[in-house]
Amino acid sequence: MTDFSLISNEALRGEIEEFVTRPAEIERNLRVFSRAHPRMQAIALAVIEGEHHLCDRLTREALEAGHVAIEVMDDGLIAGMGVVGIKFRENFIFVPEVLACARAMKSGMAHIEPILSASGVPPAGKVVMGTVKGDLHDIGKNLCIMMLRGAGFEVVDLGVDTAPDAFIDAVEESGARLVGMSALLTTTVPNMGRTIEAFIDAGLRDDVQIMVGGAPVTQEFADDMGADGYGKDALACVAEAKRLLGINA
Amino acid sequence: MGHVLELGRRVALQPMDAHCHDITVALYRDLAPGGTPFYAFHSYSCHPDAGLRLDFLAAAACHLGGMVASGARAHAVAWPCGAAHLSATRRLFVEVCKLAGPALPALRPPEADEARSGARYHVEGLGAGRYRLSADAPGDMSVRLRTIAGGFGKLAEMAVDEAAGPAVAFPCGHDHDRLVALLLPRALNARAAMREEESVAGRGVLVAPSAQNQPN
Amino acid sequence: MSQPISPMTSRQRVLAALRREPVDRTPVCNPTSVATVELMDLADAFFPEANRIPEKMANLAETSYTELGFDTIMPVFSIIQESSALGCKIQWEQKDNWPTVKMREPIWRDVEDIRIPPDLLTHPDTACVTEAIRILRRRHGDEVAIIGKTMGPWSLAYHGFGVEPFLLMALDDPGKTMQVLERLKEVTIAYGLAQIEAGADALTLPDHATGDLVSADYYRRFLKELHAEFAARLPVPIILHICGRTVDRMPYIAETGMAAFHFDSKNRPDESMAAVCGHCALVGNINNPETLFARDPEQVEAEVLANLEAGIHLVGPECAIPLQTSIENLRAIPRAVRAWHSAGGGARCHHHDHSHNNG
Repeated sequence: MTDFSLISNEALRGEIEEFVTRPAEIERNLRVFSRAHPRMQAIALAVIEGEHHLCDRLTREALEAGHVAIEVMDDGLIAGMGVVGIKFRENFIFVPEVLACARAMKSGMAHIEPILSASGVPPAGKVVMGTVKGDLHDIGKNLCIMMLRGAGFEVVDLGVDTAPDAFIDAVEESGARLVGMSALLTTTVPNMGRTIEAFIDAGLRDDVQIMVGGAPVTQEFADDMGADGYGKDALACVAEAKRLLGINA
Repeated sequence: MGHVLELGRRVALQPMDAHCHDITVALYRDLAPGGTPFYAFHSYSCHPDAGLRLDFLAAAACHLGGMVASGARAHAVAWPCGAAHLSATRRLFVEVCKLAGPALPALRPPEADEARSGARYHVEGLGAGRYRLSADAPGDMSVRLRTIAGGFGKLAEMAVDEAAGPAVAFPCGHDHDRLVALLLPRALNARAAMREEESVAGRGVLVAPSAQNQPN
Repeated sequence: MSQPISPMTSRQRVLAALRREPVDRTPVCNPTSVATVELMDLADAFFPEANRIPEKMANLAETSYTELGFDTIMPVFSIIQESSALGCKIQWEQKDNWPTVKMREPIWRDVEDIRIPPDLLTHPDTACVTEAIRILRRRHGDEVAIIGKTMGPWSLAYHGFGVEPFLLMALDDPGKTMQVLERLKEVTIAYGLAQIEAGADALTLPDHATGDLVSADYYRRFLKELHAEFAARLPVPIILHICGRTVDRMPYIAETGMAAFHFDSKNRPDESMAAVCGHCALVGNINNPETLFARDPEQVEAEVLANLEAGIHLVGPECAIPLQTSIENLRAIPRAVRAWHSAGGGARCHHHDHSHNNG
């Protein structure tokens, strides 16, 4: 028997009841939110509703009230973003709404990040992300980066129009073991394969896992170009990143 | 302006040849009158250097890969065994397009070094299109050798016989020594077969929002 | 029984199909681009010059008719010509890639920032298109349909504001968003009229309110009326182009009065026909990345047949094709259309179309 009343915040409870339908996801959200402090539930709701001014204020107040940064991030911001990802996947919301939620999360993370970086909490893993050479689209990549950061990854963002050598330099400088490449044009998809070839030629291919994604990319393309992982969307990107780095979801 | 020609099936493309004024070079597969497959390097470019470049690429495919000139068409080459070897030919196309020319490079020895493991790998011809893989390295390299054999399978559609060393074999039953030497360094890194298995296992986990309503 | 249709020129065929009238055979149409690197070599007209020099643009564009056997010529390969004239920063790229607007360097932050420059239609990158259309009309007379392209205000707003800022604006301030679209619609109209005056028979109007980014409700609220205004004010058939999954908004599109909708392979031909319910023609929808680019002529022909059997009015690629697409895959499209009609498929097609017009 699913007891939604364990979530004290009424509006948040409504969100979970209405939009989360997969049993495992219901269970996970109930587990997270039923033990989350009411302040955290309110922060999560602010993220879900895309209220960035509210999220900014609630996060600041929670930290001032003595909640630790990890708690605010995990039980508030990331937990809220998890619901956003589900709503996006199920077509309840679209990109503008996700962007607003991301903006809200970012406003909260702006308070969290300085504390975490000062306290030396180990990130889940390090990822180098970029849109491939010739492609100036960054919306999909940015969604992935936001979700990865939300899941605790440290992300090196190379931006758009990234040459193969820039990916290689970033891996060597950062020590990242995972590279994510995005393309939004059918014409630039082949540049993913060229970047992978460049890793081979540089003798670095065995040192990194490479995942690819973007509207024109398919599993078949990913296999053909020799990528290690393929994500159809930002949620899948996080799942692939965890799988490739051997992190339990 | 010229016109589009019936050249058979395009199997490989170099959209901008950095060694020849950014012309586009394509490799077309067709059948000679006896039904034997051949491949022709072709460019629609009217640049005066294009013909010389195609001469070089065809010559390099013969030199580095062991193909032979085919009289079927200008800049046409074929495998002496009469087989198609499509994957290997595509790889050979990529390799020759990297060459600046006009001088042909030295042939590669049938061995390759791997900096990370310190190993040196060898391919040894056994006749009838079969080749044994071996490694000079401390420790057990059998897993690595099987991976490399799998790489040959992916790059050149070679059959893998893991028990024999391992060994790899061309289905045509003919030797292609130059091709094998050329492919060895690439086979060290061709892990596509393994990846394909992993990705099939990960399929169907999540569906993109844009594909949610797509009928199966 | 319908009468056999007399042989038509490509232009007659395309224009009849856009009006959903009977045709001698289904036209093969490229409302976006069928330029490839091999055709660039053949025409001695390469990107980026073929996007900026009228003669080069015309030379490359006409290969779709002279070499590939399509019924249309579309000289506007890219989607950035008028954005360049509006002041957007353009990355012009090289032979093997498309020019793109640098949306990370937006030129507008608010509706007041939008200025339509007095040289909108005489700027080299817009005048290039109108001049190329004139060249093509001179060369080909009334034989072939020449299609122009004018970008819709939603796409222009992406270019000017950046995709993320504009989508956030649509969410945060719908009123301001409408003002932006109202202001930018004059660019769409002016550039469309200039191309019609130069000799364009029809216009593609891309406006990327795609299902991959926004819901059908966005289309209804922000664009439906504007698109109806375009259909009314631009006196040639308009082919609306939106990428991605769009079947949810096709019923709205069908009510705008647009002559045709150019649809993506993410939408099945038969469900799309049902969604527009005979109120506009459909153009499409051969898959680009998986079929035209990556497979063989046989798979291309199979997709052409699926479109013909569904009664799609004009057959062609779903969007601008990858520049490395093979020529034999492109030629497979008109070949398959002709073969289908030779085998009697056309009779079924006319019947199908006729019933739509009357029903």
